[in-house]
Amino acid sequence: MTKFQLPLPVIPDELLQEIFRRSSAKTVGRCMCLNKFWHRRLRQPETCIQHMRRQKVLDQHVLFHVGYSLLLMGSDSLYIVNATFGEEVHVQQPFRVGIHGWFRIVGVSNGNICFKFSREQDDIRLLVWNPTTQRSREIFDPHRDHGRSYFPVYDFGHVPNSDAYTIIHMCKRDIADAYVFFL
Amino acid sequence: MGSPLKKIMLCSSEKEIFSVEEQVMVQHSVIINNMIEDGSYNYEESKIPLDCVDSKTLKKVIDYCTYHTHHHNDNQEDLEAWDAQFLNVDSNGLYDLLMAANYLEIRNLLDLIYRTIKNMIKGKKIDEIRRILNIKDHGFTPEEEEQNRKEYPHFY
Repeated sequence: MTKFQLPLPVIPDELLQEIFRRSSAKTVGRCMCLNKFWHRRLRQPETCIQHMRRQKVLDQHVLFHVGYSLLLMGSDSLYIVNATFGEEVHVQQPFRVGIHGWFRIVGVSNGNICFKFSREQDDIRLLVWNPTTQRSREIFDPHRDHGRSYFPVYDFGHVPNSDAYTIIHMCKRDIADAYVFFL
Repeated sequence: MGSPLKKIMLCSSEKEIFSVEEQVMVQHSVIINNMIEDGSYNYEESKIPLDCVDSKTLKKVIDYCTYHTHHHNDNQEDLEAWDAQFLNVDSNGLYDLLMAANYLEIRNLLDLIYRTIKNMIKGKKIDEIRRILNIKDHGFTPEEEEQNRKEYPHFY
């Protein structure tokens, strides 16, 4: 690769946006801090969504939590570690579940994390969150009431070759359902 | 799809005329394809004026389109090696190619240049990206800079 003489001539914003759309979430995050214009533009939900749609490649990150067993209590911490460089980042949960709440990770896909959480008893919600862009979206769970009488299993993943993400929900007694939503 | 024998004329900003196989440009450039399809091009006398593309850049663009038309069955590695060699230009040359590819809507060439610039800023710190992309004034007050550092500590 040629070493280009830097800086480059000033590239029009629309073309820069195309370059950012092709960049990793981390680069986009940095570009958000380039100047006021990009700070405003890259924080817009549409930009984040477009970016998430484009990034079909899994970022080399591992997500883990510090806490107890399967259910994460409200006071627990979330960490994201870059598997290549070992950089560790403590992330704020996108929801405040408080002392009586809990949350658990349903799945991770393309840098998006799907959580199931509850602020108080029986109010269980699903949320998809992108820690880099700090954007989140609550997903309606049509089977949230089954949780009390059945043992529900959830998973979360990206559907290849499309813009869709899927949440799979299964219960013990032959009730199985998958629902697809588009970011 | 144009016939392989037909030629079309492109005219650079210096009014230099380039004669190109129609198929080569139709396959790659969305706007030239549209022009041929809607019948606004007259093979006898039309010259497509490209006022914002200079001769040097237009020649490169035609080289790119010609090569990719005739070698689209080559293996990926060979094509990538050719592309890397093709982009052996200085930063103004890269910029001119970017603007020409954007103007003519040559998607695979645009994509190649986007990827090249993407790789230039990949893994760089904010200050370095500002330097590469020639962003001189960030417009943040010191308080806002501080706020950014607090809000996104992992980007700094």
